[in-house]
Amino acid sequence: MVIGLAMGVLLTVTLDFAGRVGTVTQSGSSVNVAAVMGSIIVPIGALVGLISATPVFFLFVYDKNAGVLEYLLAVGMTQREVFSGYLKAALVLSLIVMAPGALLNFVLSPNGLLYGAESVAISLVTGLADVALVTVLMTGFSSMQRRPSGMNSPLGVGVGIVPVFPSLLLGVVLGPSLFWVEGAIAVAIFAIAAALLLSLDRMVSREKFLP
Amino acid sequence: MLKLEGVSSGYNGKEVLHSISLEVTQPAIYVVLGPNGAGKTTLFRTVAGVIKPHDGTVTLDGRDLYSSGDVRRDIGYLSHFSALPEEMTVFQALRFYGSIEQGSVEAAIDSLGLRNLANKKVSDLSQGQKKRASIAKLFLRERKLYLLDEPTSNLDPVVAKEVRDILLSLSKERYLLYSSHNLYEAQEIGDFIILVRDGKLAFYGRKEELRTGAYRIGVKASADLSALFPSGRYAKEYFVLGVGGHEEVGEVVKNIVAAGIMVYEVREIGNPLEDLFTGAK
Repeated sequence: MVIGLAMGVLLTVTLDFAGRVGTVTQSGSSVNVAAVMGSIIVPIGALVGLISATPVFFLFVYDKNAGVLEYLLAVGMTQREVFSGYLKAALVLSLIVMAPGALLNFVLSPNGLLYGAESVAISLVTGLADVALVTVLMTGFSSMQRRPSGMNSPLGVGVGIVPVFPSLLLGVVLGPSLFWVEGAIAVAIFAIAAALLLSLDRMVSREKFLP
Repeated sequence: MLKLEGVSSGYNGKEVLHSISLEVTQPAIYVVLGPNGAGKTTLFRTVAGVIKPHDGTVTLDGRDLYSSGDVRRDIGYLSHFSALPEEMTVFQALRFYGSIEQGSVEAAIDSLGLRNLANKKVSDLSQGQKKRASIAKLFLRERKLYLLDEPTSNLDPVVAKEVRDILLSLSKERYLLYSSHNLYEAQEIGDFIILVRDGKLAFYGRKEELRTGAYRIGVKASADLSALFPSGRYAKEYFVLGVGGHEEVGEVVKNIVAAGIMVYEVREIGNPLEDLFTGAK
């Protein structure tokens, strides 16, 4: 939560500064600095969400090594149900951290409440989509490792930044259409995460859950 | 109750159990015996529904084990691992599993006498306490079948006996499959023996029917024992004689001492357990 609040303050200050700068013109081209800086909220929000979800990746590895996953299979759960449990935990954890920062950003938005609402919605939705995708990838990958250690968590954060990185550039190119394009990206990320989750029963055999 | 028909299973495509068929029909303690690597754990994991068999079927009261998760919830499975989150207290860990299985934490705590350990972290428990807490998961709710995979392994003899006594008291009118590689433990607590060797069923029946082969001991004493035990003979420095089981060894020593002869050493000559596990009879 502290991290989320800190990010919210930082982004708000950044946007305020960008708003005051206004439009920058160079060689005949104008750039709305506020829009550009506003698009930073998406990858930053995703990064905050991913970092806050990493304990779940470690927990999955720990539980596998301790025989918890084996026991969950024995009490009647399927692989998908087990993965879904960790996914829910990651989403809840990241939302708890991301939401305060996003809310603060919205309340203090220097560019109007509508713009603030759009950017908050996009950053949360994209951040959660990204957390969902990375959680499914990381838990699936860890389950297939013979001796998982959780040390590949930084890789997960790195992988998670890739789908949202284009947002940094999109603000320059798209202007007001940014909201819809980033929304579409978020939906696509969620769809990929959902497809992966649904296919994990086939891809990850029950034996992979054994310590 | 429990029926295995032509069950073969294993890991990563490699078959460990080969076409095992057996039926468990009456409440009792069934001890699954076998040397290390025989397939005991694989058998338990297959019956618990943790791994699916490559061939054959496992049914509980006529219901296929994989028809629904509800069938598997009627089986309580204790693996080698405690499966208890170390940073939780005993109560929190049981409540976690209780929420998944709609079980009663209080009943489980009382069954295993864990009341004074309920607020202790799992990481702070001794081996024996951790084992009891782990067994308590199985008693969060009433089940039709209990599977205990080497529950006394890595426990010192005193704690192992405590755990066995708890299991014996909890096994009344229940179906309990208990794995061990210790024949003496099997003879102490089991009603039926299921012997697994090289992934196959080598024996299934009442423990009285299991012939382990001769149990022979060698005695070093201060005088000739031939007159005392005419069936024995000397082999090098030891007087070798056959006894019914390890429980008769004390009687032999008592008889020798009563005859005024000092006993210097008593040792096993040939282990019937090894014969049983290797099939050399």
